[in-house]
Amino acid sequence: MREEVNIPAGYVLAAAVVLALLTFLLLNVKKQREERLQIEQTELLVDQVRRIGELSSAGFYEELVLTDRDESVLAELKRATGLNRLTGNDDFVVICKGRVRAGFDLTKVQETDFSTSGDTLRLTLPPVEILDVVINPTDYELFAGHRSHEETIGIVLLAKQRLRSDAVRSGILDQAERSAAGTLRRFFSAMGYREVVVSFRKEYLLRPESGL
Amino acid sequence: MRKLLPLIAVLALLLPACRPQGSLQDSLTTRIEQLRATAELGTVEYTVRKAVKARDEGEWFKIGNRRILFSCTARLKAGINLARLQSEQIVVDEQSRSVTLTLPHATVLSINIPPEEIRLEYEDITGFRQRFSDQERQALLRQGEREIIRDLPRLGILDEAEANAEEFLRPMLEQMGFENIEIRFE
Repeated sequence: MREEVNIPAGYVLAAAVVLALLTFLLLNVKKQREERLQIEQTELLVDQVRRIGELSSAGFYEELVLTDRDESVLAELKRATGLNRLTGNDDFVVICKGRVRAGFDLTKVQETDFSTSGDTLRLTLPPVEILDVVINPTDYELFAGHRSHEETIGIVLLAKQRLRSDAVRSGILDQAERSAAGTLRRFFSAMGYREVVVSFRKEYLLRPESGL
Repeated sequence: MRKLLPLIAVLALLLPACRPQGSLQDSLTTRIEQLRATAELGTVEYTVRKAVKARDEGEWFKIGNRRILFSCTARLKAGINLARLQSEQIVVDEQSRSVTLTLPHATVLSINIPPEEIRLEYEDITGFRQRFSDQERQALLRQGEREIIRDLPRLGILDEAEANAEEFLRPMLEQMGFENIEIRFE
């Protein structure tokens, strides 16, 4: 004969209330901990102010997933034996988003690069260049794994290199030339020039002669 | 095999600390990429420095404190977004050789906090506290970046960008033969 155990409903209710309270307290402690980690107010110090003349005429945006995989013997052993399911692995995964700006340094335009004749304007722009490659702290998210500050910075720098080369591969420099020419044509046409000729100065690498 | 299992388990737990440096292979996967045309005339660059510091005294039941200090440099560029310039905003009078240019107000074009210029200057852990985790360090740096953006208007960078834009365009318009030049911002 099985004996039926009757738990009074009041006890069940009390236990549920206690459980809910504990959960609330635990979540609150965790939230407070996250909120308390605030930076202290510090002044923004201006180091340098520089006058520039940059025409940024193309932008590139990319999202990258960077995996710094643990290839050590132990990691392989853990994978082979399935122990990584228990202990986890030491792979480091970062999700980055970055921006590249390309265009022209207009302070390099010389007087001879700019001329007008009747209703024709001729302008020669300096060589197109990458102006900025930006991955700021709010642009990357540490998804998994642990690394030191210096290691993390090293990995983000790799992402910056990749971002720059992807931007060049995607044609950001050609795009910058095309859109700069378009912008300048519109600008000068609005000033009354019927013909606006925009050309680009190319930069060639000169190899030093041997023996020098 | 049964005798070996505890040994493998112990090794698996201990060896992560002995991970050889430089044995990691980096791999990058592109998820999204987008190329677009822009028309921004950057006229001023500010280089600013900020100390990002935090002190965590922990809950009452935790013994010890944690302190951390980063220094970071940010490069801020401001200027005029020429894509917002309409042809009606350029008024030319050929006879009087005058031009009126109504430019959009200056905006911040780029905020660059180079990772290589974010330095962990100091970290102090006392008692039984753990070091700052990757996520905590990241959260602090993000707060630092937000503070830099918040403090931007106080620097006067936008006024300087507009003044520089005017100084940049005026000689060019003079070279084009204009005698009366008016540049304003709306």
